[in-house]
Amino acid sequence: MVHQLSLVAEIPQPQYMLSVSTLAAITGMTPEDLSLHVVLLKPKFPFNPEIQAGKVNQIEQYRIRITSSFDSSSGTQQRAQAQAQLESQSIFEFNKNSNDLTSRKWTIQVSEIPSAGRRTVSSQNIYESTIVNTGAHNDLIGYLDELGYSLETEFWIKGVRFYHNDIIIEIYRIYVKSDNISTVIVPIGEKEQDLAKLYKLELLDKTGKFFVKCFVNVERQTGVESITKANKQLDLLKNELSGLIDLEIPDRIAMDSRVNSKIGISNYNISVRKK
Amino acid sequence: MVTAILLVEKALPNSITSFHDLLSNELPKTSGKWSFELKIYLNNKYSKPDNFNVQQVPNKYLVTLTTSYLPNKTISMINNTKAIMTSSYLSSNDEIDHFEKGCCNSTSLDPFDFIISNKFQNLWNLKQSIRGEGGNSYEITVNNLNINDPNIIQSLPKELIEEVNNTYDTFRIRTANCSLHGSFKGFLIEIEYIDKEEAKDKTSDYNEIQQFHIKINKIKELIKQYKFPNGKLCYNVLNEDKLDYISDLVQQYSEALQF
Repeated sequence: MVHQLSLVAEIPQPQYMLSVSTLAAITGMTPEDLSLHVVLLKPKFPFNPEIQAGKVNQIEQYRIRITSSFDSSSGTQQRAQAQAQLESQSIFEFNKNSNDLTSRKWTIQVSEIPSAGRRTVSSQNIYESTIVNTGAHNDLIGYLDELGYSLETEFWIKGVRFYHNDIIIEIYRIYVKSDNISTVIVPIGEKEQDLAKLYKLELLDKTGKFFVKCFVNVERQTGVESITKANKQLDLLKNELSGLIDLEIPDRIAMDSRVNSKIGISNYNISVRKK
Repeated sequence: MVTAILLVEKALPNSITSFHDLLSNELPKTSGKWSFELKIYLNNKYSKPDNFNVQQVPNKYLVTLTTSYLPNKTISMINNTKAIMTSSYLSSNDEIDHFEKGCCNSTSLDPFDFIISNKFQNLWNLKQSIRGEGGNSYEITVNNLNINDPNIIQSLPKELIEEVNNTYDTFRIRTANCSLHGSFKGFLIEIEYIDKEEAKDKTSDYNEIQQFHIKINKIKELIKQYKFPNGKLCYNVLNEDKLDYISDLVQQYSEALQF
């Protein structure tokens, strides 16, 4: 489990180049590429435990998230700003024979709701494990289905990353698949091949604004000193960037991955287009 | 890699020592202690379609296998159908690359069974936890394990049988005393057929299934000729169309350790 401390911001598209140059100057590095394919899954069935007097029932139903990197073949910040034409296969067309989805590594992730209370940064526990082998059937989605999860939605993250002390700074935009498809021939094995659909990706937010996420991962929640240090680092960065990038605490309710959550809006709907 | 699990249920905690003496006659290479843990989860019946009663929900099992010889890895299998292996410590180049690209937050992650026990309680409840320890890992090379099973001889090409008879075969053998919540449940022997180096191996011309039958028969001959204790031998595979080391291993452990 990592304990993640974070601050977020949004910047309008025209401010992107200035922000990247500023961060390059502060961090002393050229940004690294960030190209992620993120899939959200939710429990297949509702969970309605028997309510018994005196029995405390605090079992939560979490969504899970699986993440892999995808080939966006455009690493530069200029390309990220100019709307790079991104393409990807869809997880909803996952099949064990097809494509680059099965050959990728995926990390499975469960996030708790961020801690409540007055804080200067958001703090959240994240559980992760990386799938390194998908077995005799090479069927990750089939396994997750047996586990009790069905696909909910997918999106793509495209942007850049900086490192500053212990802080990871990501500036990115979120993409979803469009109806625009091109078909490609994908080799399956040495001899066989298959047709796979490549979806052109389009911006989720049409104004082209970027998201900024600054975070520090602390290995153990008990590391009080590391948490204090991370808090200080984030606070310093916030002051340094203020005026250009106004970092703030993300909305805790929007960060709640639980199904039928009792706080905020029930069944908070992640507003990315569904299948 | 073809594996099989022999579970000796009518055993005593000291059977493992007698077996050690038996194997020592064959001058094995020993490579030290090892251990495993098999966890069995039952589906939580309260996660169900709305139109089902709790009683109508069929039993499903999820098993996880962790072994000391696959450090930081968890193999899991659901209902004898699908298996995956997860890593809680990223160390190989492509694993580090996955981390550096931002797909996960650390190289030091969580064991998957820990996530299941803590975050999927709405779906799975831990029923049994079987530990195996107290044994050793050996490697032995023996000769003249000839294929005697008439069915196998009949069904495979004659040249293949000739090729694999009167040769040396190497096996990795791991022994462990199994305990379920602290009480002794039997003596487990894991047997792995170690493939010959390819240059010397003419059997690679034959298909995977034919080779599988040969290797399983070699394991059976080993058990017979070297007078291994009697027990339940499990060598089923998860997918008959495709052998897969981790999938078959977890399936065999799960079949052997049903108490």
